[in-house]
Amino acid sequence: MAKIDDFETKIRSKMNKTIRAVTRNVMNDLAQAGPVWTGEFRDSWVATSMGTGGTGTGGSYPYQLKDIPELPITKRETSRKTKITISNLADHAAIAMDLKESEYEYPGQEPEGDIILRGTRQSGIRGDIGPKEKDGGDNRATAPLDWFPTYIKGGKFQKAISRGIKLDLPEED
Amino acid sequence: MNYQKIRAKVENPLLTAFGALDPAVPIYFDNITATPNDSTTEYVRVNVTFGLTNDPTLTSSVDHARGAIVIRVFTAKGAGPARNQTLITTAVDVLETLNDSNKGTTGTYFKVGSIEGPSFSSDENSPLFMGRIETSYVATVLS
Repeated sequence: MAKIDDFETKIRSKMNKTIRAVTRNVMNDLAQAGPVWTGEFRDSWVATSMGTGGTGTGGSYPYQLKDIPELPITKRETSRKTKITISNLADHAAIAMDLKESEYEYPGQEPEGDIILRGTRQSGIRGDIGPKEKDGGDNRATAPLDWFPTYIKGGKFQKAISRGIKLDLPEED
Repeated sequence: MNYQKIRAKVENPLLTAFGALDPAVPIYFDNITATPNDSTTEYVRVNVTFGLTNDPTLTSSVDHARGAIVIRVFTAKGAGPARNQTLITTAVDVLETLNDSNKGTTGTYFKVGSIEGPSFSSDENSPLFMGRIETSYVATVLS
């Protein structure tokens, strides 16, 4: 009987490790897909265990497994449907994710990330930059408009999940 | 990859629907310079994005794509959400109609996922009130 318990614990432990690895992959994907001006938004992704409320070491890009909180391996906790959430703690996260409008000022330094859009701002949405108009502003963006829903809905999120599972499952003790 | 055919599948009916309103509501797509910079009159902004795409090796005549559609509706600020919601309804009706088509042997087969939103926001410095919906799509171009 003890052996079955040990086996179940081992399975649950392995499952948790897989979830943490997938979470790390997704956080790194989000950091790569999103805008990077000072790097604050890129480095503010955090994973939170729904079972303990723990957030690991926090960390910054590139995120590592130690940045992801350990998950409880009790039967009750491992049967929890949502085990972990990923969020961004930057004050301007909603603006960076193109969910809210804002006003923009040149911060006096060029972005850390590559500029992929440059031209005249069309609205208060971060990535809504069109071709440069005469007398229009010289605005820049380091991620395309709606990069976040594109990642979540365009298949890359699902791919990150399957990648994590494929990487972890073949491991043998 | 037939990006244009996929884009047209969603952009054309939206253009038609908002153009048929009385008065017609301007609708803008990617890389259109006419989007009013800091406009104070209502308009719609549509963004069709591409995620994973692939060209299956078994046949060269089929293309698949997945992505997101984000529709933002900008209407008068301080006038309540009704007008914004009315225009969002127009957009939602178009998206739902896209799911009515059956898969044939030619053309573009297009399906959208569940529609999220609307969510509303208004920045104190922005001249207009914004409503936003988003959905996923899968498209297959059969030729």
